[in-house]
Amino acid sequence: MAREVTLKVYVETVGTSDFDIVWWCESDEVSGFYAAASNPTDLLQRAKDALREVLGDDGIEIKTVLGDTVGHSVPPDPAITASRNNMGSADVRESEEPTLMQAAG
Amino acid sequence: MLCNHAVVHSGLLTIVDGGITRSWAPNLPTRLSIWLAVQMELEPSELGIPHEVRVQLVNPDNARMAQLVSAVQAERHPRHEDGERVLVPLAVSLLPVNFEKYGRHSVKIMVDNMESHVLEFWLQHPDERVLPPIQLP
Repeated sequence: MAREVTLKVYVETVGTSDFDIVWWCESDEVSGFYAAASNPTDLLQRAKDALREVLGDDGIEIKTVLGDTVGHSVPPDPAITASRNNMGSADVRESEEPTLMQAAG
Repeated sequence: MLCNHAVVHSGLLTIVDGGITRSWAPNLPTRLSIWLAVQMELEPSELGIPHEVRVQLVNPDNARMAQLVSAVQAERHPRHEDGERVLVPLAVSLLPVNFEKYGRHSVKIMVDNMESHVLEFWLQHPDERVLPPIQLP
């Protein structure tokens, strides 16, 4: 039976460029686990590969949960700062409903 | 669409005065009390995994003014029918953005690095507003 590992997934930006978007994840079930990528598809693939290596198990089923904190960005100008702090409306609903998190930069 | 206000509640999107294409400001830079209302549609195969939603604001010089990056994930629910798409509403305030130029602005919406939709609106000086001629009795 596949081992289920839950990843808390976050996205944040460190500037205005597309290259500054950072996706990262961690897992409560695998102490110290951390993976990062520039997009969610690569992140999940990278996390799956890393977990397979760490756990020595090919039958890993990854479940993702969006993290609920944002805020390591250092936007370069006031407009972007305002965007990061206020732009958009974060919305976290019941577990069966869509969940959102956001960061801007 | 761009609107005067949008809010998401219980998974539903409420839009007030939707369809904005013009806004007027006597001085620059300025901030605009405009909201972006988005309804995403996710296929069953797109459920259970995070998706990246980017909203980019582009000024009349084609330079990026601001970028919002969001993560969206929707789960399958027992009440969903086979093959049913899941709607994900988003309400984004543009109030924090500094507008520094008059002219055509674009709002680009990208999902998982694919351009999904582009909206345009014009920021104009009030003198550019075309008013109907005054009819004297």
